[in-house]
Amino acid sequence: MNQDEPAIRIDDLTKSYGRKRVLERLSLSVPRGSIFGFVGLNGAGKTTTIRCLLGLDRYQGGECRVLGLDAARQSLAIRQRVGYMAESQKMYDFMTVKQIIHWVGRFYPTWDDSLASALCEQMQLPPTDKVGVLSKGQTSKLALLLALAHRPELVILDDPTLGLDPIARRDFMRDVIGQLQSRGVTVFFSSHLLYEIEPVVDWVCILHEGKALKISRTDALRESVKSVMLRPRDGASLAGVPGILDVQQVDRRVSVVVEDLKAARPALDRCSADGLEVADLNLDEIFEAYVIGRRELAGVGPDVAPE
Amino acid sequence: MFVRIEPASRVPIYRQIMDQVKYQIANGTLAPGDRLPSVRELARRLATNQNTIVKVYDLLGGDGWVVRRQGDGTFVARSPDALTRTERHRRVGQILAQAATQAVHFHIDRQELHDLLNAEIDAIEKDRTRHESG
Amino acid sequence: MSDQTLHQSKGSRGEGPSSRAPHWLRLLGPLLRSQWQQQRWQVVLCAVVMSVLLAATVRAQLISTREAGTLILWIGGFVLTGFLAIGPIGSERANGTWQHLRALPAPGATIVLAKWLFGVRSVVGIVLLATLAGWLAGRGLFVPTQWLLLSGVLAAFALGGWYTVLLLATLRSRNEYEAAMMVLSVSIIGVIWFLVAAMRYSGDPLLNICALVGVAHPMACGTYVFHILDRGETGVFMVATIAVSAALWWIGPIVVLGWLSRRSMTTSRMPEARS
Repeated sequence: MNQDEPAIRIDDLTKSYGRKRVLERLSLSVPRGSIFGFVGLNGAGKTTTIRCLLGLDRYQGGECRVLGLDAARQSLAIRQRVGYMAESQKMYDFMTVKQIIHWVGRFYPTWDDSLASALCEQMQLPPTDKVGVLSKGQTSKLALLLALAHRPELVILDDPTLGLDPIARRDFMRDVIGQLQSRGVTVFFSSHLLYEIEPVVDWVCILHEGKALKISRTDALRESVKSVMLRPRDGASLAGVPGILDVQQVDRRVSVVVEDLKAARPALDRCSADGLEVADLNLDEIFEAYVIGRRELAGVGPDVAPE
Repeated sequence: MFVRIEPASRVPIYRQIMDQVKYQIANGTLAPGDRLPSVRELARRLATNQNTIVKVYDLLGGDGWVVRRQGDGTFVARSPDALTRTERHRRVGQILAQAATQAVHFHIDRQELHDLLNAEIDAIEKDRTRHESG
Repeated sequence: MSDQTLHQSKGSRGEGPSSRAPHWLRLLGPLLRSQWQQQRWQVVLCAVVMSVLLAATVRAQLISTREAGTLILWIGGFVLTGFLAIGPIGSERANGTWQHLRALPAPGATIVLAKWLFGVRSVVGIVLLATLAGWLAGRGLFVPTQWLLLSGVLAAFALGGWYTVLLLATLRSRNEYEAAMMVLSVSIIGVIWFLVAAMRYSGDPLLNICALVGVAHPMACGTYVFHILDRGETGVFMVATIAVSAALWWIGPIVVLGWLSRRSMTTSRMPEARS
């Protein structure tokens, strides 16, 4: 595939488990070389999306292209070129670390034994210990090693820090950035701990109930989503304000979270009796506004979904 | 160079890093000519995205706090004598405008504001003399 | 340090994914090995128990060798095959390693083929080993060794085929319990099916037609062991039974799974044509 093509391209992906619709016309594009964060509550559809990308689950509608390959028809080729770390890393616990590295390596044409050894040393994994006796942190590192040792162009991590303590989590992120970002490897990872992934990702996609509510660069997201406090003039309604994510009444004042401050400012100015008080939000708060924001007040219906 | 980031803060991460670097340059922890850690090294230390560090260094460079030398690294700039007095007033004035707004809003009078400002400057100068002597 | 190691040595297996994509056959190696590591104690236990039992009963001559052979090799073997079929899919699904396995770049068909190959090899190995033990134990005694050896070989063939049926039945089992239930149910059906095959000997032409259904049973050649070998008959029907069994339950899986594996690997190789 050529350099301009995105590492992952999902168009209108639709997937149901029986009658339950899990993914609803999901579309996103992951630029090559970027670190892309896929965030959502548990059950939002993150793991399902990842499984569709790797051909581990069938989907009913839409198209997924990973590294230019069709996920429905060429999933084996995708799995050869992509490093994957599943949410639960259950490996054969009767094998030793060394044995499992060697064993997995036989499945990958581009496996690099010396890189595997170097990573093993760097991550301080005891080669002769059985996988079954490793701690959770060590198991995660091993899973990461197995995902990286065949030098993939794209690495997909499904909630890789689940169950790790905070120190192990930071260590893990450090490993990911240090090993991958310098080499221009694209990283796609899902998580439900937003404040944790923010330092790490270039792009954020907020997934909720199978739909992508927002896809944006992390810094742009922070810069445009703001909380505004104002006292509405008599008779003023917020209906004309574009991109409202959350509205709350606080005594006689109203606190509004808007998607794009620049775009909403004129309308907000018009509504306000005495100016605007703008405050920054952290990523958790931004996420909450998108996912559980109340948009019913002042003529803003619950169906106003930001595009 | 010691930098901490607070992940849950409302202040964007790049701004946190930038502010801390500026503070350390101002109070003498980082002397002119000192070499800042490489992008990779700092990203690794803070477990952050390398692009964030690049952004920080670019902004600091643009504002004249640091100098980037291709191949060598990033260094703390020599004292900003190159900037005219007007330019320096303009830059500080921008930040003072924010402080003034907050002060008026919270009903802090001129004297209080003055005292607060003095306290901050005292702290920086105390650090500075500490660094210069020891 | 991390940068250095990353920029060193290129892959040890060629430059790009397309240049040396492994033939799916080569993936069987590691898959068989991991299956052995998982089931080796079960296999060894079965081999030892069966061999010792047969050797002992032949030696003791409390019951005739024929009865011993039928009981241990065929009926015992039937139970043991069921026992071995519970693990491969059921326990991997239960402990979560199945997901990990499926996520590897190996065709699903190859994974199943490896499990099948291992199971069949194990069953055949165990039965032949037990037969050998029985034969050795019977030396020096008046024992129908020819019958025993032939019976053992046919049992190995029949039970290998039966293993195929069981493995297919447990493909969707989510844990060992479900797999065990499936094995039990299919075994009961298998016994009834076998009895239908045995209708052949009732002499009634109508029932003979029913017996045609039984020809497809993997263990149908067993009916000869119990009846015909005694009377020295072989006949077309026996040959047909063995041929059908072999085609369905031995050659069939290899061909189908092999074809599916090859197809998976080739569709994956297609896009390498463009740069």
